[in-house]
Amino acid sequence: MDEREKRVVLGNEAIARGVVESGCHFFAAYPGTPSSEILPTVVRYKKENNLDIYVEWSTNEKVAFENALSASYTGKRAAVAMKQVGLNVATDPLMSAAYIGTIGGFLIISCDDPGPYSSQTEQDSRFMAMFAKIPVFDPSDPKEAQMMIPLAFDFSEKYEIPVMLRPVLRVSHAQQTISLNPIRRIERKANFQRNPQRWSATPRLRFLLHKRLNQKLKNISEEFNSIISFNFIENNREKARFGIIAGGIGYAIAKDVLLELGLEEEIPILKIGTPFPLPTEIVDAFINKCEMVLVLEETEPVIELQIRDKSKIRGRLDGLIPNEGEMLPEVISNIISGLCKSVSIPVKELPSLEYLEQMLSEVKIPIRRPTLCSGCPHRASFYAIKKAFPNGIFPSDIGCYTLGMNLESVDTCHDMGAAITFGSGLYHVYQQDGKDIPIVATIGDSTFYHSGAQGLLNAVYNGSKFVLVILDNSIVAMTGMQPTPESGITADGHPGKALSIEELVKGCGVKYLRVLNPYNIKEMVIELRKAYRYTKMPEGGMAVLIARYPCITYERDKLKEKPTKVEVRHVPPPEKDFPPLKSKALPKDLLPHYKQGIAPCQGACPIQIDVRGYIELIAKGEFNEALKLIRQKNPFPAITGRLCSRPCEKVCRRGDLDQPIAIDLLKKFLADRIILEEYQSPGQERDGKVAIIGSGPAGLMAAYDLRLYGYLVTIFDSLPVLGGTMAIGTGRFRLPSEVLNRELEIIKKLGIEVRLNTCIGKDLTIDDLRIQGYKAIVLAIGAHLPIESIPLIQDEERVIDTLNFLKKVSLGQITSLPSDVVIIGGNDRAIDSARTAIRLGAKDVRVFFNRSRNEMPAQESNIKEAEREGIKIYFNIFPTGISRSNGKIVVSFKKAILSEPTSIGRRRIISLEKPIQKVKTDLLINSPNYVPDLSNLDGIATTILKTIKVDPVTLSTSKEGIFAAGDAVTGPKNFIEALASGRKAALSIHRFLSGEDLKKDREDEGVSVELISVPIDFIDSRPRVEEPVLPVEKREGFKEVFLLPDEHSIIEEAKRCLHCGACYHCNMCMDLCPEGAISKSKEGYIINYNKCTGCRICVRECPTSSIEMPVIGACIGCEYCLKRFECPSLIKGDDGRIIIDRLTCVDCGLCVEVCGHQAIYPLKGVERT
Amino acid sequence: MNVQMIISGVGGQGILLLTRIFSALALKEGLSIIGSEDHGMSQRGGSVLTHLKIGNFRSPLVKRGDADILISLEKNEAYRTLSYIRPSLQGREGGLCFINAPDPDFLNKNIKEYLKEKGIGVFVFWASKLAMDMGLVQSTNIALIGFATSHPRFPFSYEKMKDAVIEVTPSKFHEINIRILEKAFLEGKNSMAF
Repeated sequence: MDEREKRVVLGNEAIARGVVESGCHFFAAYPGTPSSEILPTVVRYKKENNLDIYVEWSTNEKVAFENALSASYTGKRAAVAMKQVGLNVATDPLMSAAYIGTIGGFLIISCDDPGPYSSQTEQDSRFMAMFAKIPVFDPSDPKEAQMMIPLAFDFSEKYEIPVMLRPVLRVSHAQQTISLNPIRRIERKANFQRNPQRWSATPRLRFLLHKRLNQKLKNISEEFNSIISFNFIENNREKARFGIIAGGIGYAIAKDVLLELGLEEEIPILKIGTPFPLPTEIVDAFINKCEMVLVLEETEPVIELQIRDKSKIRGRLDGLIPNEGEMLPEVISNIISGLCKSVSIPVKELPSLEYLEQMLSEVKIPIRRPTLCSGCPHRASFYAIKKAFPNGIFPSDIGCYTLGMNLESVDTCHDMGAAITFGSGLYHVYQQDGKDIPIVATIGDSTFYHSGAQGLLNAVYNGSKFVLVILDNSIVAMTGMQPTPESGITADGHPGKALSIEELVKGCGVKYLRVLNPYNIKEMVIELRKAYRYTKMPEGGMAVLIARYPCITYERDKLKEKPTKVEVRHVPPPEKDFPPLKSKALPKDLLPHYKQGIAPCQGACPIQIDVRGYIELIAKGEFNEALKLIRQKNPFPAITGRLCSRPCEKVCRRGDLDQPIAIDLLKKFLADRIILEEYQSPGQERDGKVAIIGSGPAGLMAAYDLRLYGYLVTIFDSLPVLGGTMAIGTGRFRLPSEVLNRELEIIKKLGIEVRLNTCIGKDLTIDDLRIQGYKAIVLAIGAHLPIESIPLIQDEERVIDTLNFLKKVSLGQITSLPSDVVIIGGNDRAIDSARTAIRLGAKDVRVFFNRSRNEMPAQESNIKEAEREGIKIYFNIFPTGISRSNGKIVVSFKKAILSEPTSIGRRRIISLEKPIQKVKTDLLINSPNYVPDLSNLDGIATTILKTIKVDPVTLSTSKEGIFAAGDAVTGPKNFIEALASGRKAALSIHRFLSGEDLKKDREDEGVSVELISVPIDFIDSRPRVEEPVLPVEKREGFKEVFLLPDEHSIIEEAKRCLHCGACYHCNMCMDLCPEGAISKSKEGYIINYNKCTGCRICVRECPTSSIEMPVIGACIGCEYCLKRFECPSLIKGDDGRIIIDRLTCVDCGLCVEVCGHQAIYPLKGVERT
Repeated sequence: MNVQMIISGVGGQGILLLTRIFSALALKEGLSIIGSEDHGMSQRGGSVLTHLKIGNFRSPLVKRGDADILISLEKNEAYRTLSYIRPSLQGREGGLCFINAPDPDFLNKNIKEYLKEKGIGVFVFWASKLAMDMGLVQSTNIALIGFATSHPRFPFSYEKMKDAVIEVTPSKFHEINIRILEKAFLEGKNSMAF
């Protein structure tokens, strides 16, 4: 009665049992299916039985082999385990070890994978044993594997030779009942005996060792003939028509097949447990007895090849047994049955399965392929990689991430470490051709430790430059969750050290290293692109990103930190107002279409300059073209670059990301630096003379436009200079006279007549103008008449309004100032006055504003420079009265109490508190409101605000043929709106003089209300160019304060532009389309609507929003998520729409950002079950 | 006793647990057992297939057309492994299939007829619903074998199955697993499908 304990164990567990039962002292391994379970079981037995065996997970198979081998040299028993392709890695030491031999028993366990089921090859490790010239044991089941191991160790020690045990998958992963034998504890002390002639044998001695080895093999082969426990004959007889030689698993299969065929006692079987060196004696004797012999062995004809006389042999060499794929019982049954019939041995007939299998093959069963687990961080990494580089090359490696193939982010998977070496090879090859293709290699943390560093060292040393992503889930996952060196956890708990991948990467010479969380897909995409840019820099090199997140199958609790339950909408939300829609059946107007959009900057510009257009030209360095483009709409870019309030910059979409493009600065650069003599020229002469009254921006623009239309134009101005407020109402340090005059040369060049010092109403009347033949008149007289709000005292010397003050300074009527100046007001004129005052010698310049800084109308840059120049600004101070006292002007103030900010962020004054200290000064400059001076112009209707009343669309006044534009219509406003106003009036006059309808088709004139936006999530932030300023101490006189940056900075700034609404042929749509539905032609991109599924990815990813398609908000069954995200928890429902498989979903929430129609959404406030 | 079994399903459905339950059962009875399971790549969301041979067997693989029992936790995997089942032969009745699926008539009509003709018993039972309703959908596998034990020709008794479930599953799930096993067994008995 067998007293031994029985257990049902896995084959690998039986092997581990055999190892400890043999008293093994040293065990090393590297994970690899189907061998991975051996080492953890050895550790379990070690702990259960308190054994003195050293166990380690080595960093790779060669390392494991050599570590264990050295133990054997000291006399201790050692073993190493790996999968068959792992033995390839350890081949170098293996070959040498056979020659040198061993002292303590040395067992190599190499697990084969016929099929293959989880390997790159179905190579036969017995061949490797033959090649290395070591004996190999081939077990037929787990029980036999357990029994062979002690014998293998004995053989190893007897012949001083490494011995291999070769279980196939069907043995390693079989389950079988075994009996546990007592564990031998073999006392042996390590004793390395010096023998350099052996251990460091030189080639000459190797020859002798080889001779010795060959003799060993001969002896072993002979002894194998008598190992009847593993090499024996069943159903022996003197003569047989048909016999079987069965090795390893072949024996097990043959036994069951013969049993079923009723031949279990009929057919003699020679079982071979030691295929190399073949025990030729018993083999030859057996063959002699038979007329025909079938050799059954996995995977290659190792036994067959060693049989010298093959005349009776059937098997793999003649193709009877298929040479690819696993030996299946169905196949073997047919072969044996057929052979028996061929020699008239009666065989039990078995029912045919053909009919059933035929019917089953016709049932459409969906193909089920392995895929990454739900929530796997690798999925997030691969999704990000494909998004960042839709047409990159992706060398990858062995592990769970090989499944990135399904997401089209893995191109190669060759052997351990090949991701990096393929990456560097590909890099050099494309470099040879000068071609630039993004190469993104992916490798796991454990594989990187296995053989990644070598490739990386080479890449850095040989100058390769590509992106490597190390997918660090901190575990060896695919093979069953073994620890990596990063964890510092050793196989059996002996003291070890945790290693750092970062240090290793840096040690390989990599200068660019980032550690990221792959779950943050947006950041991954940005960092991937950044890394790629680095590799392309001349001073760049290898870029390594570590995507670190634990394996969620191993660390299930990680996802409990932030569970996100999701749902998929099948019906569009009611506010979208769509019917139920299906991919491939979308109405035409809901399909994606390319559409050039008006960029927000152009939309917001009162004169609709093609801002995006000229910025693009600047980015290309085409400055002349850029200036030409500006001049199509704006004849005064140098002035605009200085005075414009920049509505374009306020809506610039770059500002959503970091800071808006410095559009005005770019314009100023062109205007100042580029000498371009090309200007627009007047059109064909038209009949009609036009009088422009006032030469401010509104009048000048009207004059310019009308002259280009072809009309004769005369400008009248009461001042001795051209330019209106630009000339006499603006700080010189903001708009120097030279710049203004240079800009206004265009007026002369176009042949516009200029009559200065001519006041219409006084020197000439409107009627006079009509008599002189002017068919139309533009009143662009500005708003220069002050309307005081505070009762002023008359004192021309010491009290003045801002406009008058600036005018007098411009005309040279004021050249110096008293020391003490007070300015009341907060608009640009007030600040300009203050800054002018300080330049004219005032020492103490104070500005008083009645609300807070936030409400100050002046430009922030103006205010900031004023403060730097030493001007003191006081807020929330409201003036209540002005008086005189002792030669000084005295201003009374009260504190203003402000309201809370309104909806646009501004505060109002709600009350005034008690008076505060009165302020005394020598000069008071006040900011009244201004209205147009209509004192000499009769019959022009005005508004309640005392501005000229006009039709808002046409700008025509109450008198026929007289139009008005600029501040005269709006009250004091800004420069750019005045320009727009002048343009509007010019168009009206043109239509007036042509007899056309003034109002028709003018609704779209002016700024746009709806402005497009573009995706900014994946753009790298870059700061805006700095506008250099003159240092305060250098601001003598009226030198211009704002300067220009250099050309390089200007071009770099222009490159920050996002090209809103204008396709710049980045090919992103074409590359990203999962259906390949977009192609490129001379005319642009074309969508093949037969292929288009309506997934909307092209629209979403277009960096310029040049493709239109609404978000439907519900699943249309386009299957984009299945294709590019491929999570097992996203499954196709019966109607083709996606549903969540709650059984497998782990609530990682990553899928929310995948759907182009935003159909997947997170459920709020739902706890994970 | 000689029994050849195929257990099939999708990774994550607890196929290996079933294998261990049957192994424990066989061991207790002093029966030899040999079988084969899937690991590694084949498990990452793929089909899982276990061969189990109790009795006088050497090879861990069941030959197609030899399985006495087919237990399938998923209907497409059932289709994939259906040809393993043994037809009736020389007076010996055909094998038994127990399939977890919501629709009892999901099998293709021609195939159903063929199987009936060959004396193969096919029983579709929505084990996942029972397990889910009992609050532990992961024990769908337990529910299916519970149902199977109610068949008179199923080689393992309910009692022996219960003991094996207790031996193999974690103690904190014992109570609910036994309730699931029992309920499924009773449903099998009441279904009169046999």
